[in-house]
Amino acid sequence: MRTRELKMLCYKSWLETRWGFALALMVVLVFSLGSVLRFPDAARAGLRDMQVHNHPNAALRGVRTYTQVEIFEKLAILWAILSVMLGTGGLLRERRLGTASFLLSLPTSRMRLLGVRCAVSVFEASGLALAAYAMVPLAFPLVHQSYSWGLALRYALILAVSGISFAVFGILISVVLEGGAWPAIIGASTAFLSLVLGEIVTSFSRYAPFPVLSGESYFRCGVVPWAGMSVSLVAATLMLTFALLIVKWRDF
Amino acid sequence: MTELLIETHSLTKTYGGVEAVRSLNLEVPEGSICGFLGKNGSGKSTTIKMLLGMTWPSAGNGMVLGQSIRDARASVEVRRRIGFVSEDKRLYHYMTVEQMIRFTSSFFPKWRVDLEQQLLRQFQLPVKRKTGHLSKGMRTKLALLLALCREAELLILDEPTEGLDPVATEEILQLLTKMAAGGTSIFFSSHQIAEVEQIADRVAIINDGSLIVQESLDHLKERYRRIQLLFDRDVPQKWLKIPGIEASHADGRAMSVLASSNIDEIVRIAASLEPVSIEVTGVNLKEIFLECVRES
Repeated sequence: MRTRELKMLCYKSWLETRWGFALALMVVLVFSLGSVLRFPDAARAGLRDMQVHNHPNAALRGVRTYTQVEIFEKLAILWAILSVMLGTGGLLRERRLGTASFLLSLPTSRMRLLGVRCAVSVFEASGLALAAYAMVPLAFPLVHQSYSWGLALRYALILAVSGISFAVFGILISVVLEGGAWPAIIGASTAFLSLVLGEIVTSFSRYAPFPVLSGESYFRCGVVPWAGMSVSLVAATLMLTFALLIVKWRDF
Repeated sequence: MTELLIETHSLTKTYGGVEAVRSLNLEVPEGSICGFLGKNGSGKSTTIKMLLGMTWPSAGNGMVLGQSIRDARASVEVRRRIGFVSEDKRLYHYMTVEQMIRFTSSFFPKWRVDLEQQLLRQFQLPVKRKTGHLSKGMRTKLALLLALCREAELLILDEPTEGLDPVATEEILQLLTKMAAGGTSIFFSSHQIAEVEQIADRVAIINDGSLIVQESLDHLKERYRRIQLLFDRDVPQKWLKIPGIEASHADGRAMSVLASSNIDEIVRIAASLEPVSIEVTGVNLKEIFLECVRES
């Protein structure tokens, strides 16, 4: 019986978020494809710049560097913002829409409702990362280049695991903030700021999540950012626990 | 002794210093149909939300089906034995009627497929239509179907006939009576006093968060009497301080008195004032409700 309940709760969560997911998927796929297709132009522009500045751009340094600098790093920011937005929703939104009473009258705990919502959100965010990164090796042959499927998959996994805290942050912000699109807007803005702050403020850079998300250490020296990924998982667990406590004691 | 399915002790809910429900001592015995009456904002929905574990009490406690409403874990199992229709009948707009039924039934092992099919036909619900495209009446019917098919021991219904036409309302009331005859206890709130009078055997009246009346409907109607007096002169006022008189209204030479007890004594004293006529009649629930709310 419990399995059926869980299945139906997941199904409900999927129905709620599917259009948002489809839209996010389209955005990352178009970005990936567009970036790959721009590679020949970027390489030509790099050659012209080389004659002027004597400094090669990312495209001129090869497919791997171009992919890291121009695709994966930007995708990481885009993905984090979309993951936060996909995580928003849940019971406060249902209260606003008038369906919270119905949902809370069902014999299931608030913990389970939030847990399912979180699981679906993390699953969707992971799917988004895999699809966006898989587009890279799939599209490079269109410009007569190639990129390793194994590498793309490894970078996608680094992003999905180290970015899990962003998906959970979306959950947390929607149990704290109520009202229309505000949780998604505030959540996405916070995620964006946390990612770019390390690039702007030097003193913050060693704690910034961006290099972990983009797999910078793996690109530079083949080291998987285990520490960063672990910190993200711990942060996600703490945020989820906090969200559960808030939801448990909230009146609906 | 009849078991109490709902029992609250000094149940209180405060929102920002305002008491929405204050020291409520509610009792709903097993096998009863209890109508829960009150004005808008009197605390009916807040009480129901506390009973179902949606809102936490600020003080006091309550038991539903023998479990404390403060125990979140027990509340989950209690909800498996309860059918509920919320004041807000909105459902998931992105689900069809069929999906909504499939979703809800997955939580209830005793889901009655036979009743589901019967109600789908009776209510003429379009199974393939999204609930967001249903009329208010249709949404209410679907919400009722989702509550009634749970094979619940207790139905808690907040304004169950809201938005329904008189024919559908009658159908629902008949259905509820039938379910009660089958052993289901019902606790329902309504603004339609005639509906409560039609099916309830017990009444609880709440006003400004406090319970002002709680007893069987028969006893209540038996207790209350309207005494109509007609004088050939101006109505005398001084005798009105007799215990049992809940309200009185004078209009020229006529006077109407609503009494809740001590009827014989009131009639005897009234007769001593030598009116032209005295008439003692029964009262309906609406009159009792209006007077109780006005007086409190």
